[in-house]
Amino acid sequence: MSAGRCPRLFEVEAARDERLTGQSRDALDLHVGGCPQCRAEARTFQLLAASLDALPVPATDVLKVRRERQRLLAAFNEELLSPPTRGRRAWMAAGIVAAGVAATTSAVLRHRAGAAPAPSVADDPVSIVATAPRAAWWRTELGATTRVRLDEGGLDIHVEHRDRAHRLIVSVPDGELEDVGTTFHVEVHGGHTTAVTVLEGMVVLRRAERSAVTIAAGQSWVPEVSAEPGHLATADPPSHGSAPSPPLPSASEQPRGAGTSAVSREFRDAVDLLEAGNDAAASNALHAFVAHHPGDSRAQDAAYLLVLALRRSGDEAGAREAARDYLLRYAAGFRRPEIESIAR
Amino acid sequence: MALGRQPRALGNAARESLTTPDAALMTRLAEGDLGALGEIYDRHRDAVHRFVVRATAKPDDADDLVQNTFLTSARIASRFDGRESCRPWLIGIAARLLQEGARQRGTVARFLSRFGSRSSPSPNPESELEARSALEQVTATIARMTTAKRIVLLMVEVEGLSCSAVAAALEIPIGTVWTRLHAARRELRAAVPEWREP
Repeated sequence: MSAGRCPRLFEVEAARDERLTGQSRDALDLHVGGCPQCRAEARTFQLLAASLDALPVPATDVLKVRRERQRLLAAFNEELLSPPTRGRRAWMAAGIVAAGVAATTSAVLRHRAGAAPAPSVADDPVSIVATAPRAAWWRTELGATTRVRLDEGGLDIHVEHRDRAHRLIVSVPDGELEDVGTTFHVEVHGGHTTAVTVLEGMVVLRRAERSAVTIAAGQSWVPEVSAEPGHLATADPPSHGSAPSPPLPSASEQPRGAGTSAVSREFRDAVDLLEAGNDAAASNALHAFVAHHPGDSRAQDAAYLLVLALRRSGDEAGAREAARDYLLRYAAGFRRPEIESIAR
Repeated sequence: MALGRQPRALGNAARESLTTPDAALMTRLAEGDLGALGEIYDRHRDAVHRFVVRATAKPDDADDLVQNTFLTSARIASRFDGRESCRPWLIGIAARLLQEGARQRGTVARFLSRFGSRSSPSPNPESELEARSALEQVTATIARMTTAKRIVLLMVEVEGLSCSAVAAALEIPIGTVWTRLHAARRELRAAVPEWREP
């Protein structure tokens, strides 16, 4: 027996598009339960959406995403300092110009006030992005060496090592960093280096009167607060010649978790629990760290270790959930490939 | 049978509670905080990229459009209306850039021409053939569709945005969203025999 076309068929699409609400929607739901045509119509819309969702998307290249991120930040940074917007950011440019007057050099000097045009992002092997509006930094080119002086704030730095002879040295108030790799972040506050996080490659941190520290990809360094001297030597400003750099020293300080602040202790305690094999307690501690300090430079490490801790404790579902959370939070995270295999 | 769409997750509740709200990041971004732009990018790059890739289909163009989307969002961050997630707003910016570009028709066709080689997980060769046939029809139809209809269709059916969110993002009346959506579905249904209206 043919019942003909159901007169309520059009309502199925209306419901899907939120054009039916309240009692009308409830009544349709009841109707669909007993109407094969409307059920088929709803099913068709689901298949249609599923087909669209099945359209392929090229696989994500983590390094490419990271480069694109740097390119975006560099482009916006340039816009912030360009003439049309300089009035809006005049306080920032003025402060940097004032500080930059002291740094006289015969080399090409480029700084955030834009005294000289920066090379295009595509041509420049060194990409530097200030991560806070008040960051005070200068960049000097001296032959094959790029010197960056950071007095305050944070910088994300990425180096394309097209030319092996090219060197990048970042002078910080209490020492200097030499890039031996490609991507890292450095923070300076109150005249002291407060954090260094390396995403790719390796950097060497040399602080006055302290042993050098080699910080590898995936590691974050924070200072040992209790041992921090009251006055640290200030690094020389950029000079005319290419300053000789000492040979790479061996690591004499643990780069990660060396701080003794409450946050550092919290992180270190969580890692200690993991190392001691107390996986359940470690996962709780790491979860708490990620929850309480999402902006901390070690949060990504903690999120990664949380996944490991949950796996070790046998909580596969929890590990998968934590892995997915990691992927959501750190789209360009340096543990992404490993975490992706766990999230599946 | 559920009649509504399943919205694509914007991020689980736990994650949302752990992170700075998008609105706060957009406020910081409007003040020139580059770190905020980086975080917005980290959160929403994949969604924006997926949307753009499906609409433009040429990876090189997609990368530039994603860049332009986030750069535009940074320029107009002060105009963000403070909603919970800025993803619909970003998708809206991307959609507007796509419409302005008017260059994707050819690239979509090229992209979709590669679609035939995509493998299906179906173990049944017959159903696999049917599914591939339906998908091929879908891709061909989408390639022929007007940009305006295609964008609305992808925003609603793939990105899981509500019609009201699409209307707000594209700054068009919700009635226009419904009209474009209905027309787009009608084209798709006409192309796939099993989906034709009874």
